[in-house]
Amino acid sequence: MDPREASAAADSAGAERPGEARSHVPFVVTMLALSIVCFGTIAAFNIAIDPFRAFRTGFSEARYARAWLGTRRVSKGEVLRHGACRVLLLGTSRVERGFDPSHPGWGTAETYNMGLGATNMWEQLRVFRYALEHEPLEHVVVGLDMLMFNSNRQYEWDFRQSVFNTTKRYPDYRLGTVLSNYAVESSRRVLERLDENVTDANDDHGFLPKGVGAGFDYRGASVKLLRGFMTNPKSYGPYMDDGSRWAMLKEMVETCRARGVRLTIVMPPSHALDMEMLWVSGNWAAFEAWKRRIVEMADAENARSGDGDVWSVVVWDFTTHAGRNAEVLPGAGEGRVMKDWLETSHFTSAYGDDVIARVTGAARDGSGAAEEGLGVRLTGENIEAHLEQLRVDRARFVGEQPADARMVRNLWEQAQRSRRSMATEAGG
Amino acid sequence: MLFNSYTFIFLFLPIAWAGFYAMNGVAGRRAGRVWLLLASLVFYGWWNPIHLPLLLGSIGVNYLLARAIGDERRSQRGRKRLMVWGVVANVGALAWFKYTDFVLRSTLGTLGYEMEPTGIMIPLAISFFTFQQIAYIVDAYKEPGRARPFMDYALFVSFFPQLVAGPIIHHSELMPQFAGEEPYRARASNLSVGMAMFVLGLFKKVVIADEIAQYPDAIFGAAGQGDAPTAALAWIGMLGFTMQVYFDFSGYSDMAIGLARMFGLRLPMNFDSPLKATGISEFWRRWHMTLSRFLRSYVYLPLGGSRVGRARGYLNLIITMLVSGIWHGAAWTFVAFGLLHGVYLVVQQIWTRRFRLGPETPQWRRTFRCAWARALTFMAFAFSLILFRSSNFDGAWLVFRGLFGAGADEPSAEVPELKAAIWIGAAWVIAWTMPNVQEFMRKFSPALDWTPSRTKWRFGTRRVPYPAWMPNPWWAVPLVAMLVWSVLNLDRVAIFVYWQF
Repeated sequence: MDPREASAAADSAGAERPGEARSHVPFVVTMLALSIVCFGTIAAFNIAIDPFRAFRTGFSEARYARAWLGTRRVSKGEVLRHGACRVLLLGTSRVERGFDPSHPGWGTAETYNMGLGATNMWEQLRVFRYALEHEPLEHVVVGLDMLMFNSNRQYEWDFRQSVFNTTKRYPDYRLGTVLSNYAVESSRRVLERLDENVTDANDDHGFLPKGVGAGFDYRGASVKLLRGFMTNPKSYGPYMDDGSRWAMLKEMVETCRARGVRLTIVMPPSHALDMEMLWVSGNWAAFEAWKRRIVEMADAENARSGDGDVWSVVVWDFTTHAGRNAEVLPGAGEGRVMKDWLETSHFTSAYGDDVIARVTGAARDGSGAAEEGLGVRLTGENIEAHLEQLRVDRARFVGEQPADARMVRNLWEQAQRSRRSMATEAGG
Repeated sequence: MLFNSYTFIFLFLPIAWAGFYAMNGVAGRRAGRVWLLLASLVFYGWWNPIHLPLLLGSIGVNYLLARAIGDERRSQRGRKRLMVWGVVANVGALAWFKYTDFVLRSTLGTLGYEMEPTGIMIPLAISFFTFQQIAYIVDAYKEPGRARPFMDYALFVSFFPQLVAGPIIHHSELMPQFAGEEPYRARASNLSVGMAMFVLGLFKKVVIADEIAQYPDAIFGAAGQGDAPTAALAWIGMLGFTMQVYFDFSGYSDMAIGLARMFGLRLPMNFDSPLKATGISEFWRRWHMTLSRFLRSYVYLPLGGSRVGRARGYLNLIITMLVSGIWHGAAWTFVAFGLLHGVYLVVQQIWTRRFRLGPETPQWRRTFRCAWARALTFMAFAFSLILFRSSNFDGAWLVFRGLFGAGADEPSAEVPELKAAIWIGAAWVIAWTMPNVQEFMRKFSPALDWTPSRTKWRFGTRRVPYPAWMPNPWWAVPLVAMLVWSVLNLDRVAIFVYWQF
């Protein structure tokens, strides 16, 4: 017999001495009983608080809104699982903070804002697929930022925990919402907010508006954001588009067409300083190419419409250096509250209301009046003229706000110097 | 399915265990084995069942091949030819799935062409079940006339605790156990020892390895994109990954051994405190022991081992370690990792021959040399892991340079350096000074064919015994605390480092 076989057989046969089995029973019983008590308690706590609105046992959706930030994808997934959604708003935090789902322009109360901070096309496609499968979708509005096409931008941590993550089997997903650190932490945050006066009427439908008070340091916040965008490889430090994200947008467009779901593509407002960052970072050509490609894709789909086929995709562009996007940042200690901007990256929901009015043709007051000149509806016919106009707007902005334009350039040069010094050190 | 997942811990394992013993009791052993086989196939196909047919086909073909090879009525030459074809087919399948992209990319790259990935999906665990089956057919040739029942063979290859990341079991270790009594009796002793080992392994993986993983992930990720780390980050990256991979893989092995034990089966030891080794050859006798054993038996010795002259012996060592490197992954960095370890082994052999300690060497010098050798071995291994972890040579070079102060001034990744250093330091203290899981469980023969070589701490002349687990309810309290801690952290579930192999 092979020595290994002999050893295996001997090890197996002589494993237990008389009475040994009995002596292990108290350990096994204690271990199992304690485990059941501990896990049962944790699960009961999280089911009772229900921080993700998974079991509808806890409090109203609004109470969770702020508690959700770190696990927003989990929470939004649960809301989408339970509630009916006819109009779906997709996009980044700009959409999440700027597009109010209760705006009458959407034409239905069953509108859900699936805007997600730091998202990308990969995530948004999965959210779209999930919604399409579970909701009676009639209209999809995609707020597109060029950042969503940066291939360095991977999925966020809470996406992996969410129902949108199709590699996670349901038992893993469901047990994660009751037996995980993030579930316990989310429950704790909900309890912290119990004293806040929030009613069911405030259910936010995924909308996360933000207000800033007088004395807010707009400039400091904006500089921090711009610097982050310039140095973060998930943004423009450097921007990288390997082409893979375009197939995802194409799938969205083609699926909407196949299912007869209205599709509106919106390039939401970008502050002039945010736009200037694209210019000084050398990404302007890529930005223009990005817009051309979107319009090209939309035109190609619309061209496929034959007689009787009313489906079409509409593209709106609100990015420019001019108009409300060129609102001057308050100086240090000025104390002025900006009308349309939270900082250079996010517009206010009031500005968002006007954008929605322009896109849908219906203002919040029901007047149907929309601000003329706000945004441009893009087609293959006007894209080049529009891009030319944006260049003119940019030149005018630099003339009118030279100090701020210089500030953006300086920030970019600082970021570049820092990168160069690192690369030189590394390269010897 | 991952061991460190809710589905496995709360659904699969209880159902598989209870079902196995219920089947044994109600319908007999054969039904129990069928149940275990089916459970293992569910385990394998849980994520993506697309490769289940490949696994089943591989089992079927190799079993028939082994029967033919072991058929004594065939001529020796015919059996040998079949065996060679079998090995070539297995290696060919492994190469096709795992190395096609690598070979094509490398070849076309040298000719100046770029290539899109072929999209060939690597079947889960193919490296592991291929090696096990190669051993089976080679042994069928060496020892003909020992055909085993198909059910035992299929279960040996697919038995879920060891299926996806080892230990690489030899058929003679597991198959005789299926024929014994032990697995078919639901014993509290097997359950308690198995549960304790599983929890300890889970804790090592989820709480220690996954916590540390975020630091090297960020640092090596940035280096892979050309961002040089600072000196501090380079050290955190290198030492952090060393700790991560040790606690990750040894934790996985502890879980696998514990799970098998719950079913009354003993698996061989796979990690025996390798970071305490005082030489590279000792390191490989303690690290992924079942892989080292396989490579020794089926690569190094067939090449002639050290019996073919000194220079050929060195070459054989290098070739064996090259195979080990390539087995770990399809990239030039893994080739370099294997080559480096081959060189390490050769250097150590030369050194040992030249500077062997004599019996007259004073104790203080022995102690000093032992401490120095341990530190050197640890550092040599840690250095090599830079190649193992880096996605390309440029990234590896940036981390190497960073170690010696030639890195960047600004951090390349957001890593809380103090916190990272505390975690890595704590893990290092555990790895260097504490008994391993098998030593802790030593009173209950936790691994097959293993007796502990160390059971005490030495402080000068004093000897302090390692703590030893006993099946009393008090030990259940810290173990449940570790289990709860681990389960709550499953939300950051990360696959095992060796899962991809």
